[in-house]
Amino acid sequence: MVIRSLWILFAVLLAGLTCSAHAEASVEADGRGRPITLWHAYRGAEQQALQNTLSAWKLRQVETLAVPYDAYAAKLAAAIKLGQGPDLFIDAHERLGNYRSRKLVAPVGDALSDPDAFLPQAMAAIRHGGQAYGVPLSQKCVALFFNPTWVKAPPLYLEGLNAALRQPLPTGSFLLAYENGNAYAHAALLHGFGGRFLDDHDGFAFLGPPAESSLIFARDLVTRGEVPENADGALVTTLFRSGKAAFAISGPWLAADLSAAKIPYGISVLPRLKATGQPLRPFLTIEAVMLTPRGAARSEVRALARYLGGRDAAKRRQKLARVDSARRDVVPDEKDHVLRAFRQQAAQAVVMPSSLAMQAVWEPARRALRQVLSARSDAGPALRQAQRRFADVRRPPPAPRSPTPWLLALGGLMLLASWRLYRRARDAEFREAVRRSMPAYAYVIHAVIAIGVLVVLPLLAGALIALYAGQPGEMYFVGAAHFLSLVTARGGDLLGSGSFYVVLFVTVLWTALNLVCHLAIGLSLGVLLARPVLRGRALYRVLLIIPWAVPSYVTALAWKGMFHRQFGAVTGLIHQLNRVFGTEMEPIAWFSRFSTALTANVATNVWLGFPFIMVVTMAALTAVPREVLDAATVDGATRWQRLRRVTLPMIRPTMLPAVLLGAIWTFNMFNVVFLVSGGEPDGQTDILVSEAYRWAFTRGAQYGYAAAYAVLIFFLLAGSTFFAARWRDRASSREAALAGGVS
Amino acid sequence: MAAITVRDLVKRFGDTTVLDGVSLEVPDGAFGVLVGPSGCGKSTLLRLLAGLEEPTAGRILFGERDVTDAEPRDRDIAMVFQSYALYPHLSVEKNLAFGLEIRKVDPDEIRDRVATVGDMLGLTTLLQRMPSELSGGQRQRVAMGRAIVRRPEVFMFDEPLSNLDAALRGQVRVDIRRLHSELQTTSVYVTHDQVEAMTLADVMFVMNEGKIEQAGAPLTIFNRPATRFVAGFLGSPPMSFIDAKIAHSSEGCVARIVAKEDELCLPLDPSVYREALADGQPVVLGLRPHEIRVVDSAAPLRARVLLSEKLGSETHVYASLAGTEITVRVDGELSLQEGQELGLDIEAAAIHLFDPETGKSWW
Repeated sequence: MVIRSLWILFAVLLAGLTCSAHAEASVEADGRGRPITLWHAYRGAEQQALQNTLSAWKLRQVETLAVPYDAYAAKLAAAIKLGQGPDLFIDAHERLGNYRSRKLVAPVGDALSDPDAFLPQAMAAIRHGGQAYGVPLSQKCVALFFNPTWVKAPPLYLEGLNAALRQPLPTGSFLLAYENGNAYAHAALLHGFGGRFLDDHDGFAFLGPPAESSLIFARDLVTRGEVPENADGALVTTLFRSGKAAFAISGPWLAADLSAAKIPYGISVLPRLKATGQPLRPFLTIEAVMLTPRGAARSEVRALARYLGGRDAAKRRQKLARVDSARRDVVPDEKDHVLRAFRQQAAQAVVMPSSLAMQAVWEPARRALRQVLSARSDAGPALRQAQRRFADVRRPPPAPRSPTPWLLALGGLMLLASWRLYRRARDAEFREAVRRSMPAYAYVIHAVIAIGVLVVLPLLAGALIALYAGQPGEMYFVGAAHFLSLVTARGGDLLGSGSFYVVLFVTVLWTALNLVCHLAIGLSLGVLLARPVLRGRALYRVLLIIPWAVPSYVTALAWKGMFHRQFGAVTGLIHQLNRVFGTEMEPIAWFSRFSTALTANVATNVWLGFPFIMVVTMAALTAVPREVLDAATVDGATRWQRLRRVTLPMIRPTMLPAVLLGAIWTFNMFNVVFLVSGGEPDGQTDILVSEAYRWAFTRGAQYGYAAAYAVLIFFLLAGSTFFAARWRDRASSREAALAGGVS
Repeated sequence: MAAITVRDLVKRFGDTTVLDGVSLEVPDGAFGVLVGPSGCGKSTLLRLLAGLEEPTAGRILFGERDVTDAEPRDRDIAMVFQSYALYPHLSVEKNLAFGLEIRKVDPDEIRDRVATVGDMLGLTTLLQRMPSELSGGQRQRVAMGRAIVRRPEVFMFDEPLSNLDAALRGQVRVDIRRLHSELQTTSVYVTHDQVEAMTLADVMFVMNEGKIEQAGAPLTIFNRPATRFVAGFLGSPPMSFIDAKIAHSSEGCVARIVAKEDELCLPLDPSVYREALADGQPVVLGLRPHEIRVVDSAAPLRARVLLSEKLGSETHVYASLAGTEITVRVDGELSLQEGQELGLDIEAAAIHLFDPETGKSWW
């Protein structure tokens, strides 16, 4: 009965799928009647400007979809491959290399009817091999902001920032704020020294005297206390807005923020370097309309792209969203100093390379930058290490292998399995057993299907990726090459930075430290809160469970803020202690040494994890009868002896699964590691999952390699869980049926 | 070994007074039993003696030593709990050795003492088992062993037999009595079971509502209950109570039972009689079921059978005597019908008299 209804359900589902597929096919055939779909990642004023522009275009209905920026590229790729993507989309030009290699974009053809109408840098950004792959809309780069309260006039030279001040800055203020730990922000300095990140053949060029000089210059700014260390975008904004930074290097987003808050500010092009006489040249990003291959084939889509890149639309955008147009004939208003400064800056900016190799530059460059800024390494060695890392990421993918031996082995296994099944099926007793359990199978089949589809299949698919290499959509079989490369540390030093073994060691250390702290704190608090005499017990319980109830990334970000060397709460505490006790403790640069960075991570994760052990302890303690503790008291045991010799052994069987679970969670605790230390210093505090993440998402989308990491993590965890269970069974065979002994 | 002396012990939990000025004395080497219904405070008294609770007021002395404020481990006591309270994660051997290990006794001596106690209680073959692998009776013996092996000054038992079945209970009761006569250790035993109390006690304390109603040797208390509560609590089936009034007549003093349809007179023993009992004084008569004899139905004292329970060797008859229900214990062979009239004979000496106001005996 159940089986039959399942079949009916299956048939209905199948019919439904067929119908919807058919409906879609008919729409496809009638493509010319379809509305045009446009994707973008705009918000606020820019989104309104886009809608306004589109409303003036009457040729055909346009459907727009605003996709969050973080997921933009991934969603685009997935949707376009499935034929569900937009006809055209708006994105930054530096992703064109990626899109082109995956055939997500097509040349724009007659959508760009008048190339000379656009600024030369904009055209350079979207051209590749003589073809235009986008219609430029706007350009974005950073410029120099200054606070008129402190600054007379913007200086000519970067070395002359101090001289441009009306009066010396009070302590606690900075001369200049910029995201100095960020390779993108550092680019301006690098270019000013005559260096660059990539050469013309996609080779690593962040090397040599210009690069070294730029790093040393950036470090000296921090050493002299003129620039705050480890500043991110939020800190730059905060410092400048609150008047604690006389200058800031930032983009149009800061301008929008300041204008909205009605804070007076000045803006100019970035100054020159006295050392080279050259101007600082930031990276330039061109936002452009790009066409998918399907969209490029439709003339009305090309017409829409032409319209969006046209003079009228550009004027609307400039007026409504105050963005700098990429067109020559749309110039900023005479009175708009901000836009004029940005346009002037864009003219002397460096168009960001759009090749895939650029993706492999960011992380090694950032690490080298941070090593030098925190004075952990000299510029030369740091850059050479960055070059090695770049080469590591850009190493040629493994050669394709024939899947035949694998398929043969798989086939052999399946033959063996079916042979055994056949042997068993001939056994009448087995057949009878199967027949008898049919009703039971009918009851669990829906759960098996659901778990199969939702858990097992994705797991297998993920694991299978580990046997493939190449970009999504063009993956090819490489067998166990990724695993070999992993366990041989990609041919490098087995105990070198980024080697699987080193990361594994850090992961195990991280897990062990966390477990010890979780247990020590969780058990103590659990035992304390389980005491019936404690006043206000319910209140403490709620308070102590709060860290667990707050989303972990919120906690992680809060702790990261507390560990900031200059502005963190811990530093505040140290200053306070110094003031009260007259000591001279130095603020700790938490993320510049492995030990302190790991401590910061562990502190955060302990805060997140102890409530779980505490709650389990309190629950486990209810199973310890009072009479047993009384018996121990009468037997002469002290409070400590009762805890150690009676209570703890009795709650152990309940605690073990919780501890095991906690260990697995900690082993895979991506949030804390990624958000608090972010692998600092120099990737040393990365654990296996965060390392796998970096291979997948920051090192040129090496999904196969990342999947190999994931498969190894899975086997490590499955293996250790298995052995832990075995060990526990052996240990508790003597304590069998504990509950029975209590009654 | 030591005598136990308790003086004016008071224990309150918040507003609830559990013990209200209890004083008692268990002589050195004696077996004292605290007996009373649930909630009378006997277990709390035991926990105070063990040091598991702190008294609100009063003193506790072991011999000459004031232990009122001493920690349990400094009192040199051993205790057997109702649930046995064995350590579930330790083998029988480790359970027995636990208290000695805590007290840092020499390991060789621990082995000897555990072996001796194992022999004494027949636990030798069970030493390596876990508590969960033992039957209820075996666990009980381990709990006893754990107390004995310590050789304490005082043994305490908190209803140790209540989790055993009836047959085993009788046997273990005998074992406890035998062990006590061997060891001669001062013991305090808490129970709500009057049979345990009667059979085990050298000195018995009947407790009710946080107070000791009567203390003394079990038989003395049984024969001369000081209050109506004690009289009703001890004895099975329990004593029957009848409201009556004193009347003096030519034959001496009688208790007149006035009922709707009837008026009966019971002669009172002259040795019991007090001149102070005025004519018309209301009293409560207490009659133990085994002291009422059934005679032929022509006797002046007559009751009507309501119900009879045949237990084999004896039969309990519930009968109505002048409108009041009484219990009579008769021979098992006697066959009685519901509604049948019985003639009863009650010896004057067997009648207990209680004050209906205070419940005190008029002895």
